[in-house]
Amino acid sequence: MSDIIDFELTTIETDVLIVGGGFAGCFAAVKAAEDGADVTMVVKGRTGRSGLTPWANSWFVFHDTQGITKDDYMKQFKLSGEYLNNQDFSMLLINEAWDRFQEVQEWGTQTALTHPQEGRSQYIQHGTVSRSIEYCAAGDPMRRKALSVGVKMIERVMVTDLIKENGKVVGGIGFHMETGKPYAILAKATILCTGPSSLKPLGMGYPCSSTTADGDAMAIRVGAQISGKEFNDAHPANNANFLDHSTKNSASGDAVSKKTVLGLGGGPPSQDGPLNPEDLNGATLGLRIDSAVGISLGGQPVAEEYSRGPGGTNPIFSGAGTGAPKKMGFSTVGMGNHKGEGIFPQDINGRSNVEGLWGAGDAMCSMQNGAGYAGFGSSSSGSAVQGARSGHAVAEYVKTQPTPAPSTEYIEEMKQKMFAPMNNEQGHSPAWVTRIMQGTMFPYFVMYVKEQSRMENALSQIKYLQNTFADNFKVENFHELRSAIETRNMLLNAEMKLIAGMTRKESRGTHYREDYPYRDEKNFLAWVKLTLNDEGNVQSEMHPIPEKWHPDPSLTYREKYGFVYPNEDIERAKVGILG
Amino acid sequence: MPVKHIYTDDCIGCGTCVESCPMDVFRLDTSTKNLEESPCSNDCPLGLNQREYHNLIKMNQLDEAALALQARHPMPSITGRVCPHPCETNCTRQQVDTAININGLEEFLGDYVLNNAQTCVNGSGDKVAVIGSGPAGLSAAYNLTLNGYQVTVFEKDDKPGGLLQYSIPAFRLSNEIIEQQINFYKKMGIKFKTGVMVGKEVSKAELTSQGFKAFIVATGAAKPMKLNVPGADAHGISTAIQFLRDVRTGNADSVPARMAVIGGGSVSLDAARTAIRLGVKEVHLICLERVEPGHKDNMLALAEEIIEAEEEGVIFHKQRSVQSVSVEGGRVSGVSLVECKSTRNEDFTFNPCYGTEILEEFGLDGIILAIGQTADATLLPKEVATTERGYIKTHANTLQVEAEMFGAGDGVTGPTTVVRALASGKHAALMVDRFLKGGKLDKNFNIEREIAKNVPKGNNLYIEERQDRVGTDATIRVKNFASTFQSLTHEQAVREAERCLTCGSKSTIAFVDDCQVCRLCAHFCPADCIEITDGAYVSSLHNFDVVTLGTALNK
Repeated sequence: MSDIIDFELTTIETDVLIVGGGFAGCFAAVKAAEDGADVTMVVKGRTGRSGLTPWANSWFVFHDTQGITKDDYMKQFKLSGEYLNNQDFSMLLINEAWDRFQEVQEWGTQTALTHPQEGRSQYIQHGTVSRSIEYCAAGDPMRRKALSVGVKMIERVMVTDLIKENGKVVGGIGFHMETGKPYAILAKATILCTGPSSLKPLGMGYPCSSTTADGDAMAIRVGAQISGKEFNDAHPANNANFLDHSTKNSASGDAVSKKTVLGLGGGPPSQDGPLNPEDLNGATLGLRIDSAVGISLGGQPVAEEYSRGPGGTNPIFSGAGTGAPKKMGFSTVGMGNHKGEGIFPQDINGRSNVEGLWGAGDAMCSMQNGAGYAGFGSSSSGSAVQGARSGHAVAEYVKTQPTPAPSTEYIEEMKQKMFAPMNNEQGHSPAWVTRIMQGTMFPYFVMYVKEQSRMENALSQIKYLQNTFADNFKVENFHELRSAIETRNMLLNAEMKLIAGMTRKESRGTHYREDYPYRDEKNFLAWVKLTLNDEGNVQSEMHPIPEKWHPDPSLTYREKYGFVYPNEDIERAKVGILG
Repeated sequence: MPVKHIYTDDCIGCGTCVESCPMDVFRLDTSTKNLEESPCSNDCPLGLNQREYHNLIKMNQLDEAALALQARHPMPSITGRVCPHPCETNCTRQQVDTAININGLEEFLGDYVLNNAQTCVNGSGDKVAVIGSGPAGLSAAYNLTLNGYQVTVFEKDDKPGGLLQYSIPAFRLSNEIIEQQINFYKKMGIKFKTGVMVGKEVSKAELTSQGFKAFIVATGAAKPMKLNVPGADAHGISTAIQFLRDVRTGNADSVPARMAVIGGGSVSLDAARTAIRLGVKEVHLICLERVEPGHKDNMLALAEEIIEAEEEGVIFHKQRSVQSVSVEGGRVSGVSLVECKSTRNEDFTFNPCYGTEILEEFGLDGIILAIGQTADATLLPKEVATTERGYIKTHANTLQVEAEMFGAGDGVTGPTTVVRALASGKHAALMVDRFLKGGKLDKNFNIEREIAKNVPKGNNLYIEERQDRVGTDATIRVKNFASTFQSLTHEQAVREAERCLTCGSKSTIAFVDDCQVCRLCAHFCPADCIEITDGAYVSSLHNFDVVTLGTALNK
């Protein structure tokens, strides 16, 4: 038997702990440090490189050169977000994205403005403007900026759980993925900037597999409200290089992919109102079941002979059912909408309902974009805007907070729990459990085309996996320990997704229910908030949307909702949703 | 397969892929086995494996880093302060921005060793006597102790340390550090007999009868050279070695008003800067050399020392030679200087050429000579053979004087640097080990290793500013003998280690199952040596252990 892992804990005291090193994390860190706080960033990989940051190639800014006003723009935001926007956050993006763009440029990010030879300086889509930045160009300058303002940076360390003392979050505990060195970071405030949550699809050519819902899982375990779990982000991808944006097959935002995202409902706010069905490549709005090749096979690319889907003629997914697929399905399987899942904010700065805990960027359900997608670059700039906000707020908050002093026994207990998969004499492989979880969640008829009984079946499987395996892993090294903890987090995330999906008994934006294929304003102009009950099960409640943000009642149903779900009109007529 | 292959021949070992991979797929091998040697390691007389402990510092594994350093280095805390760091001269990082602060990291980690390390004592082997406790002697003692020998160091002075203790001024190397280092050795089990001169207070024969099986003579080269010009025997002319010793032992706390120090090495600068701290009105530094790095006539002192000395008010007279010393009433009253047109030949042999015209003349109250040292044969036991010039006569490769008697350090080679003396002492320890085990001495165990490649042109390596030790302001530092700079902080050390390109290491694909084919590794790789297949990751359901039935069963 191998030696018991019981490394000595390195304890770091700081004002602000920031978990995650993408746009939100870097901006939060820089702003908090500039406001005088002592800031420690803990990053699972390397700041600015090993998450979704390198993927960013545009930066949304509101720009009146396209002849639309902020109010016009907000109107489009509501249309694409299907009235689930938190309009305070939408307006924050409109108001502050330009300033953050100036900063990210000042810090050294190469943009098309500074490198005009790239031949494009901005995307213009339906009245919005996204400034072009180079792939992979923003991360390193942000990292250097954070270091230059005195931020302490601990990298390749995974925070596994938040430390809670007397009802307040006072930091986190984690370990280094190569050496296993355990850290306890005691902080007066913690900001989770852990990004979106994927269910770790591999080999898809899109860098989202490292964002495994760690933040959402850690937050809900300490009592935070989580929201937005019923919505999906879906970038179709193949195994092509996401960095090679010259190819139409790329997972990045080329013309083909854009339309596919639209196909899931939602889309960039449009100057002209909701897009026509005809614009969408002739496809029925909503989900195209016939083309969901990869998803039907569990989202993991597999050998060609096993990868034929149900068939279809859609040119984007040509060959499905009859030949070699060109697309590998949706590379972001399990990811929620950008800015649309995670910690439910109590204020514009991302404060959670738990004392001492904040969220920012894709780890927070700001509902900046509502139930849809707000167009190129809104995720990068939205994360920066929200990160900066939380940084300022937290720097102010910590001024009046005492130095945390949780009991050493409690921290020691957390450490033992963290290392348990290393020290268990026997147990299950996290890779295997992950694969089974994916087999349950990835099929398009669970994740994207939802129906009550199928979700209940999936939930029953997920609960079995949680109860049987989540605390019974056996791993051989710290790389695998990371996988074990990610698997535990993803199982909880899967449950959240299913509970949220079952709670919203309607279709809206990227949430499509086969059994409720219509918008139900009477019951669901609300956000679904999730918490854990005493038994450790996910429970949901509805949080109504302020009336001032409701759609204009004088509009017809179809004026409000341009996208048509399969069978929508027939089914809504049956339940009396007319107009 | 996703990440298919790393072209090892092209891999420069920078670890960028390890850092950049979101899925933690790579690992870096920084060991020395079968791998290319980094330029810093190649240029280090001690052959440290800097990349290994730099990588460990980067990961904040200070205990492991300290062990890696200790295994090859007897006093990193000291060389971290006084070494001219030849390791930084060819640092590959210069091709990206600036050299790694290898010396600063060595100091940081050296201090960590002194403050935290658990010393392993294992003294059951043969007894070995080391004569002289300067760097060479201490290095010999340290390395013998690591190999299990029982070592006693004999020192003629009151305190161990040799020139560390008596010649290097406290503002470069404090008493506390020397004391800590000596205590560290004592904890390892090294015994010190001070105030004992072997050959005088105790004879070699007596030691042999006490059970000492081998001897390493490391008596150094601390006998100052004399100036040979008219007036050189005037009153008021002393030597830097004596002056620095008097200051360190508390026997000199003032200096005449106007002083000149003659010489262009570190000792000269030490003397001049010490004089400033003792309140000298003006101090002139007269040297044959120029300050022009890369030039054959460049001063031997380090660039940073020269800058610091200038800041402190030392008046430099470069490319000058003393033609004569003026004398009044038997005392020094001034000097006359001529030009030194050239100091060395192209092959660096010393061959000064002077002009005849007197270019400068000025009044002085005292002169300190720092024009070089030589060995002092009178310090040696009678059994040790010497050369005509008083150096210990050893076999060139084995350092054997004869039978169980070995030599080490400046006493053999003539004046060098601390690190060269350490390397010599280490070598002598190895030879004694072989001798006592009955092995063949003159056998080369060094494997010829290739030097790691340069970084490719047009690379996209991460740019990060060098972390330097923060210096104390000149106006403050001239007032006392405190260290002139602050050691790197823990935070700075981690940042600086992160800049290290760990040259010659090799990256390996350790966890290929987790590759998400995002290609960031290939994108960031400066050597373009990562191949990723075009095909999808064809996996089966059984490419992992479904259930691990305990380690015992599993293996």
